[in-house]
Amino acid sequence: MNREKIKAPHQIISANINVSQIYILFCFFTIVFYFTWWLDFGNAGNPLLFGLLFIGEVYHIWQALGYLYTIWDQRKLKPRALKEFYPVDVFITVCGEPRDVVEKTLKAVLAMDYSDFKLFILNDGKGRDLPNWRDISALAEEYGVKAIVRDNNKGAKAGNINNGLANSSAPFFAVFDADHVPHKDFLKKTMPYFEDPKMAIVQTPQYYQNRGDGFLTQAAWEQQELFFGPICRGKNRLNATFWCGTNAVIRREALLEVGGVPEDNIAEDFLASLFMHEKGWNSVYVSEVLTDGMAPFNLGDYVKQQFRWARGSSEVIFHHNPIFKKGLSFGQKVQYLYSSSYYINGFIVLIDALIPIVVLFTKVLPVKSTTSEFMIYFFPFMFSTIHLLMLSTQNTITFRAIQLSISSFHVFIKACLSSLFRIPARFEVTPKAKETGNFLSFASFHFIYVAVGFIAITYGFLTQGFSPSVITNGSWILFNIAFFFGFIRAAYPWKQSFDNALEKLKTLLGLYKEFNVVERYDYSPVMQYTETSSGGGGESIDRGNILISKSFGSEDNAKLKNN
Amino acid sequence: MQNSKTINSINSKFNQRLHILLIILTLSVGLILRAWNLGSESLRLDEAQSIWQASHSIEFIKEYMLKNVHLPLHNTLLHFWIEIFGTSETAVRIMAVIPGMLTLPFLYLLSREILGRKGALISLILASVSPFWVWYSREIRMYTLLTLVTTLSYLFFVKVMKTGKLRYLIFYSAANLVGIYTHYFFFLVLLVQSLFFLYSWKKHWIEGHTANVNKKKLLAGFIFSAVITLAAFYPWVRALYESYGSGTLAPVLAKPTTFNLVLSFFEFVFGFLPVNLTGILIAFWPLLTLLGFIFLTKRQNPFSRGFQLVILGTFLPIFLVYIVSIVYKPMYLTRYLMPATPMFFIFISWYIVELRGKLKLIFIISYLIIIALAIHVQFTSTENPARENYRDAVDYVTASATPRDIIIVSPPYIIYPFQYYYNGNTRVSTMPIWDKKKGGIPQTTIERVQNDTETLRRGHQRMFLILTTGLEGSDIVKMYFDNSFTKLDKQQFSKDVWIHVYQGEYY
Repeated sequence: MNREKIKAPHQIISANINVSQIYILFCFFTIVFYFTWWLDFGNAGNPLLFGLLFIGEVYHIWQALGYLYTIWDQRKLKPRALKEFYPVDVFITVCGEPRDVVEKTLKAVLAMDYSDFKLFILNDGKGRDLPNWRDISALAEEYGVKAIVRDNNKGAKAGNINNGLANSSAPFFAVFDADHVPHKDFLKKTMPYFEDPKMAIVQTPQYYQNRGDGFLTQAAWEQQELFFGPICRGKNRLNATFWCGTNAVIRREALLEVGGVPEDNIAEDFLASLFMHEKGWNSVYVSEVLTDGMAPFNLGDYVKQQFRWARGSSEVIFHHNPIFKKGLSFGQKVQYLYSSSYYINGFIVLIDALIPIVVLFTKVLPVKSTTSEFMIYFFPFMFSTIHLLMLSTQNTITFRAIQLSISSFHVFIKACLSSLFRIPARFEVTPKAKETGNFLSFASFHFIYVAVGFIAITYGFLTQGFSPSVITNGSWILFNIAFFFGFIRAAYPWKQSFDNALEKLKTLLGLYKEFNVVERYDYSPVMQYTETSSGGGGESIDRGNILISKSFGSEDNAKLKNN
Repeated sequence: MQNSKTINSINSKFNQRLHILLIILTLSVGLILRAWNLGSESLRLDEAQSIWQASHSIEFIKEYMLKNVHLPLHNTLLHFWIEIFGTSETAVRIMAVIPGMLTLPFLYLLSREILGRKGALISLILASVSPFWVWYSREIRMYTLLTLVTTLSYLFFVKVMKTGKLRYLIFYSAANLVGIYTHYFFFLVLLVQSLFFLYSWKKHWIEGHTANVNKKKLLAGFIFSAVITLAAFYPWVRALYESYGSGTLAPVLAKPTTFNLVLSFFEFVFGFLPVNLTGILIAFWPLLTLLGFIFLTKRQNPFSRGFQLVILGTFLPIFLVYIVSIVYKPMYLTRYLMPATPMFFIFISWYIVELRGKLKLIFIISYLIIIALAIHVQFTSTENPARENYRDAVDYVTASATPRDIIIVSPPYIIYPFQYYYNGNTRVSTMPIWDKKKGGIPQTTIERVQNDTETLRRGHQRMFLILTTGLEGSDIVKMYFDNSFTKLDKQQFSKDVWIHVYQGEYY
């Protein structure tokens, strides 16, 4: 049997994957073939619904083509040897993270195998009036490291870094979020790329060491794997790697040339990269895990993170559109547009989710073509592109990653709209503490969709019978529900709650048995006592009372037996 | 430690025995489905045609096949079979059951080469209860033989690719020799294998595993095999060339639509179901997309070399035939695509094997429940589009028609099943009038129908029109009769087999 071992995360990120370009071309043809169906407007039913679907499919095709273009050649760069130890300032950005988290990173930085670097803790807790900012400064002092503290929080993380730059002087600086612990050889493996005098950014992957903690962290990591795997490796070819906020080394001169880190945007890293590329600076992605970070622990944190990224990307689309940036090459324009347009997917998911419901309620059809004809165009496109996704990630991406991404549609929509209408957004740090709990409010859209979807299916069957149209649209609703289930699953510790409920039920059953035993002895005072002690009858007995009743029941039974 | 080893050994033995038990059980179910009540169903048109041809001399079979779209091997074998066992429905269909059953263990072996033991067992289960395979295992045509040689050819091809051993090359060549005289579409199997071999020229069967297989030697072996195969086929090609232009008995096929493509895959899975049920099941296609999505993005194992062969062997023949049918000449019929089915079942098995935990069991059980229902509907529904109940139709005319009536069968080739069953003394003719020994069937036109009807109607009180709808010319005949004569009665025997009784001449 031909089974090959799946590679470890480090290996995937670092893999030297070369997807067959013949297969990529095949996928290209399936995409074009599929698009020809949509270009045949003879297939259009209701113009509005068809138009909406058409927009959605144009977007999907753009994303698929963008992916093909990106991974056309994703061979990783050959590692370079360090020739010279350039001076480097290392910034750990802190904004309320727990002391132990910061300490771990601090220790790792100090242990880095590089002769000429200076560590700064950019402690931004004071400006935001966070309770532990003094702790962090004390920690820095304890380790003999300089903590740079601001009185205000202007420009959030961007302002913090700019402030760090103003208080330091090395020609290069490395940035680590407080929870991203660098490996010993981080600088040794990144600094050689600065031999190129035009090199501005050397970015490394963000690896989530807590990826195995549960559904959410696993899904979040798989999304990272896709981005820091084939996408970033592909961007290298086009000199389009952008700074991802942490785990990177930046040339001070390049950043200062574009006015420092932009403070008016919550995706300051993305925008700064765009400006630096526009000025002709280069960037590179080193596809080797050189830090260990943490994935968002819960849905609330994940939503914050996704909103921040989506908002930042939308800012680029709406206010700094790369198409109109003269200094960018064609490849860079495509890459910035491709990456920043990813979050528009929220609108497309919403359109695709609502149309079957509209069809079931109104009987208005968006298309006129036969199902079988559409399938012939659709399936090759669908399965070849997903297969390509698998090939290019060495089968590491799973359904949950896509599920979580698609079910984040409302977060993306909110971010895009807030960017479009310039509604101020606050930079919120992804919390680093492990919290679980009830985040069902984030999944309220999804619950509503499930309810409305089932009503629509029922209505369809009642009004149109068991017709193929109702079945197909009902199936699309189930399709969407399957994807939206990602958020519902992550919003609440269902399993734990189920286990608890089961435990309670077992205990109740145990009590019931106990009662039965007592009843068989016909010892009514016990029952009376139990009811009295429960303070409201047998049915409302809580766990504590159960124990009491069990205890009394047993003793009395024993007495009975003795008598 | 010793205990743990003993437990493991017991477990392993138990699993092995359970595996063998499941194989036996599955094969038994497969046999029951294929052989149970074999003669209960009426012979269908194609079956009756095969029996008619096979009941002639070998030379006649050859000459007839030269004008047809099929090859002579199956009907030649049937010729000898009939001489020994006779022509009853059960007797002839056993000749289809045998290769139908033999395919199952070989499919197991082929699947084992690609998916391993568990995958092979799943393939065996799927194939054993496949309504599509069961249907053709109960039909005396060449399709089960074609499936068998296809499976054998793939099995030995994979063996050769993996080991490079000469004995497998010999078995492979032998299977191909049978295959090329069984059906023209067997060449698609050889095409798939050739493309796969060229594609994997620089690759090993197992990624990174440098097995001791010399690709150049393999190439020489395959070329040698191809030369033998082509040399063996040469006499037939020459005979075809020489008989070119002497008339054709090839059926006229319609250009396929995309629906035919979808329907083929549907029938591979569910067999032949009533049209409305087929429509309903196909309407669930978004869920198929979801299944594909979940599967492709939730799997643990990379795509193996063998899997690439499975994909190629499943899809290439179908799409190639479809494209040729669109751009050159229609030749698309689902049953002709039988060579794609062994790989298709392995493809589904692969899907199931890759599922994890309880999902696998749930999927298998759901699949088997749906297939059990499909088989039930296939065998019991009168709306099954593949059922042709000529036996009851003939019984009806035998009981109703008198020597003063005439029986007209249309389209003309319906005469084969009719003659198989009919033993009465009413005059019989076809519409249009056709002498099957003289060659091709005349084209059905309204003028010809009018003239031939006038000829046949004379002197007959009633006309019993046995009509199979959905075939070339049947709608013209029915329309003419309905518009020209008084209808006295009509009876339906299966979805497309009808008898319409019209008033002939008055006495």
